[in-house]
Amino acid sequence: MSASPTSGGFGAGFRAMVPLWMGVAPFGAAYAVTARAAGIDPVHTQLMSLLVFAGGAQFAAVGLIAAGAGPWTLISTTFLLNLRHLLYGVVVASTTELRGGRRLLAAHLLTDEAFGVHVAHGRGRPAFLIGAGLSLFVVWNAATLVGSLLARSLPEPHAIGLDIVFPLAFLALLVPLLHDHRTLAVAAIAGLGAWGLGAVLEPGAALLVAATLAAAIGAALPAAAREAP
Amino acid sequence: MTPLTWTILAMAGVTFGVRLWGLLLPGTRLRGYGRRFLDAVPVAMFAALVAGGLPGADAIDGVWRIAAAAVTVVVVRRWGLAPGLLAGLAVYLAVRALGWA
Repeated sequence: MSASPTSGGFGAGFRAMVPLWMGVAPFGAAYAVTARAAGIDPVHTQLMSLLVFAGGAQFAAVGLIAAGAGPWTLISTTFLLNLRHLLYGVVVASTTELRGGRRLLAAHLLTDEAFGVHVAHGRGRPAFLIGAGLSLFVVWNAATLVGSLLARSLPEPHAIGLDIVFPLAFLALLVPLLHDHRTLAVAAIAGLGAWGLGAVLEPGAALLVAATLAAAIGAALPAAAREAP
Repeated sequence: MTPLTWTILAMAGVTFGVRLWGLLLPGTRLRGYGRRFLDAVPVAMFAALVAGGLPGADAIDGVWRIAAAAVTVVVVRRWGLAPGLLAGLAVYLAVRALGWA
């Protein structure tokens, strides 16, 4: 039986995420090491990776817990840092039909990386998105477990140069989408905006504001600019 | 359950809710400006993630540019994400180890 364009793709999605494992795994382990240093026990450290599954928010939560922040600070920070996922959901829903359990599963697995790989290689295929998301979920949680077990013997990701993996991966996803003046303008505005706003806003807020402004400006560019080769 | 367990559950609920909220919005019915906005979101978000994920000013000025050029060359030649990422990382680690930038 042959698969339709909107079916299948779970394995392809899972495999498409493999190149990002080398970036995700050290950070998953580093998150666990940081959590242990902040006094969080391994069970809660793992619970956060299993249930929250949002790297940036998890790192922020660990830092806030270490600083003595209360529950509402953690929850509101998580909301702010993950608000950009709202845009991901809107984009995914506009190209890919997700219903029932698949939609709920996709909602749990929709990270920056899963969104990026899905947009680049799996539009219209819900199984691809779930495969990509699950691939990351497995690695992130395995790395968290390893980090908890080997907390004192693992190097920091930046010490071995792996902190560069994420910007390089998103650059590799971005380049094929730059095909006209409009996309170049949107990328330039978003990049410069995120860089500049990063100095004055929370990381999640800076990304959200910069990307939203850039997309809004790009969508308003005159047709001549949009259609230029 | 401990207060931390409840807090983690609330964090999970907030994260899941935000993601599900987007998936429930009727993006497919958008036309015109709204459609163009959604089409521009991936480019904008990837560019913001690239800029926001850079380790620091030193990387932007030096090694990062060389690694980014390696990634761009590989991806433009349609060799794919994995080779592009590996090339960029290899160049980054090599240049950093040799102290050329």
